[in-house]
Amino acid sequence: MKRGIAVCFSTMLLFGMALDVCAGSGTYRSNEIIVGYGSSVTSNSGYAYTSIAGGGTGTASVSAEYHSHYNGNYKEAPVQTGNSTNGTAASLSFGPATGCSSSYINATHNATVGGTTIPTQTSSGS
Amino acid sequence: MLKKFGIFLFILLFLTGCGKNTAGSDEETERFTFRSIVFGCYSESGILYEKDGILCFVDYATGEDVVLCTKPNCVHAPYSAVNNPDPYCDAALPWEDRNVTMIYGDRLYAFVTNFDSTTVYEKGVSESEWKKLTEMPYSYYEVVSWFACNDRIYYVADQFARQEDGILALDDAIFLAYVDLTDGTYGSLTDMDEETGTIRIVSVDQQNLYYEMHYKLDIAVPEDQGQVYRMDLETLKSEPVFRMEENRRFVGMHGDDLYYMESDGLHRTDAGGEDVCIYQGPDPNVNSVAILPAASGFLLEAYMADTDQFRIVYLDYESDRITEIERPNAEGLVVEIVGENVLVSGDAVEVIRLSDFLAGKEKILARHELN
Repeated sequence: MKRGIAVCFSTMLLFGMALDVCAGSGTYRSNEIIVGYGSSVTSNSGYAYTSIAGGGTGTASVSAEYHSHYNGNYKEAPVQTGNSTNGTAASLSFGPATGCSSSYINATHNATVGGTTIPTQTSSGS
Repeated sequence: MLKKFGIFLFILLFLTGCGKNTAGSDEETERFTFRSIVFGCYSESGILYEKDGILCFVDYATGEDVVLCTKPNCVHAPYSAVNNPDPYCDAALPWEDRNVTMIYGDRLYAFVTNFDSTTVYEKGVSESEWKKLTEMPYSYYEVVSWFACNDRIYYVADQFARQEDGILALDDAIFLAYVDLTDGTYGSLTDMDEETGTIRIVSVDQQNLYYEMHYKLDIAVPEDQGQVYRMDLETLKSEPVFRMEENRRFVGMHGDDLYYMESDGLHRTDAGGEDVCIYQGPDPNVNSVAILPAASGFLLEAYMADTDQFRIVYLDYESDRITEIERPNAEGLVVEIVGENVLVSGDAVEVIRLSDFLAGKEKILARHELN
């Protein structure tokens, strides 16, 4: 039997488009690096991640603010904030925000691979 | 579109059905799949991906990129709790919760989580209704690879604690877990160790699954950043096989031979402990190196900072031959090897047969635009 094997990557938008702050997910891609990142929300929870692709070693980090919506207004202060710095992947999860009908998240993503630090990427979801 | 999907479905069922393992038979299953987050789930027959809540499939055999829906006159409207709570489209994922979808053989699986628990649903690729397979009392760490083989899905699970107000605590704990697709049984494969920062599944071969456990950065030191483990797929027991250091990178194992990289190049250590440098350079501390395991060997793809060029080599386990691959006119990075195919990512993901790629022939079997 022949089985293929895998490594870890990330999604959808290529570098260039990835600078769109409204993007829910993206891929920073230069000659030698692929870093996947993204954030998403449900009506009462949020999620953000940064991941180094291609079996590359390095450090991935993500920080995010999660806001909830209740009775017509988003709270000024975020419901929850967090930072995560890890090996090849970092993620954060938020919520549930009780009594809210919708929510949004703003996240920033950083990574260093093979001695190269990528420009800070941002993502958001609502 | 319906006709195209019918052709695709026939080929998919043909490919996957032929490979089914049978008791007492020497024939081995060809079913193997994994999900990464470039844009979806890579199986031996094609790529499953989600676009705006609609499941699609890129078929290697035909090159077609189709929506997984056979309903007549369907406009493929996604699920919406407010506007479309009961979607007509077979390809619409009927959830708003965070979810991961996979294809394995001729069946689709969806892991839907509310952070406290994860429900696994399944259906045939041509069916309309998702059926609940099982429910697990934890979530998942989405960014890490998911593998399916031998009727099990392996993934990295995430256990969240709660603050007093019910909000998720940020100090979650991750561990390796599995779900048996035949009966819905599930379980953890590693302890929830508070020293563990991340877990990454590296590769799967005939008998074993290899995974890295990285220490949290405040615990890791240059000479001990974590361990690589080998798990027996029959017994589900793990043993450490490699200590990760700042200047040493695990590449893979074939039998008892262990391959790794150091600053002088690629090394092999045999069962007797004899260590040989089998390929000089590139230095992984200077150059960005991607390691892509395959069934027959592995590919090293290194961006050489000094020359601004890529160096790509493939080591074949059986012949012990190292092939240097020239891609003078090709664009994109090799991002995956699955089954007998190489996936190259540029403006699109292009699928090329591994044997062609190694021979310098880049005949594209299928292509998927990424935007």
